[in-house]
Amino acid sequence: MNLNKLLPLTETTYYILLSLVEPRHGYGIMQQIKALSDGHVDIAPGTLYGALDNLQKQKLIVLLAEDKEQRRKTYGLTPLGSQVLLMEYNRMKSLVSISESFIL
Amino acid sequence: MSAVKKQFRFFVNFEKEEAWLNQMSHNGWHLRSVSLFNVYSFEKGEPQNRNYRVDCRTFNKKKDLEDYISLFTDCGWVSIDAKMYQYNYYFYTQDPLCSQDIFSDKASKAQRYLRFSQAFLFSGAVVMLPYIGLYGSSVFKAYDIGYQTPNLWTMPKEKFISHFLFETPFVVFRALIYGLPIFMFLACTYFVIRFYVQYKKDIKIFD
Repeated sequence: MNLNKLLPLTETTYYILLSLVEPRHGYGIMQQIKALSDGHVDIAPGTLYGALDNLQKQKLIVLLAEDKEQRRKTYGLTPLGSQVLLMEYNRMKSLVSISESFIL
Repeated sequence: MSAVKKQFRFFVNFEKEEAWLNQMSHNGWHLRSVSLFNVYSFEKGEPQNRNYRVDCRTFNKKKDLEDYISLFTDCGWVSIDAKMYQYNYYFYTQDPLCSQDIFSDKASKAQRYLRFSQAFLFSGAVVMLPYIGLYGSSVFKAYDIGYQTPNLWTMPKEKFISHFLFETPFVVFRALIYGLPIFMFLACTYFVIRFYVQYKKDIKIFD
């Protein structure tokens, strides 16, 4: 599979993958993203649910062990997901470094 | 036991449905449940300012539905009578800290119409598949719908009128029974197209 097709990621997708470097459930992802972005990015539940569904289909994230008592599902990155996150990070980093001499 | 009101409504626009539910709560009628055939049940109470939102989803497992609902309740939304296979799920909030919408970007908000379109495609197929079998096999024959009295059309006038009037209600009844699935199929097709067009429109506007 050509991973470059998945890039660039949307801001929402990038934040979700970034927050899943450690396994979390849905609400945990929302809180983490809010904290990481200083409250600027606040993903609503309907949007997050659709995004998680999509990322699972693309095999970038995976459902971790389901607790029988708990209603909440916990998600984590797949090796593919980690790879895509790193590729996007490198893509943005190179854009920033190219821009530096022009903008600063 | 407080008063209960039931009302049939069908909305082709989620925003209008949400506005109507807000208005009902403003008048003291709070949504309790919505049946599969769009009968809304309301319970009388104190007037409240509620912010209702509707999402269209289908779930394969009960577990998926529970996970979905808990995601909303975790962020301050109240879920109304969520069951499997009801397509539309209803939430409201009065929490000022809660986000104003259940969608935070335009694309995911528009996709709600795509799922609604797919839901009608699915129900159209479910309604039609058994009938395609019946129409295709020899159980249903188009000429069975018409007048069955032998030699009806060559009868003398008075005899013809009495036989004709006698049989007409049966013909109409048979035509309705045979035609109903076709009518339902056409209605489903109309909504599949209508909601798909709405989805395309919303996606484009917000691009």
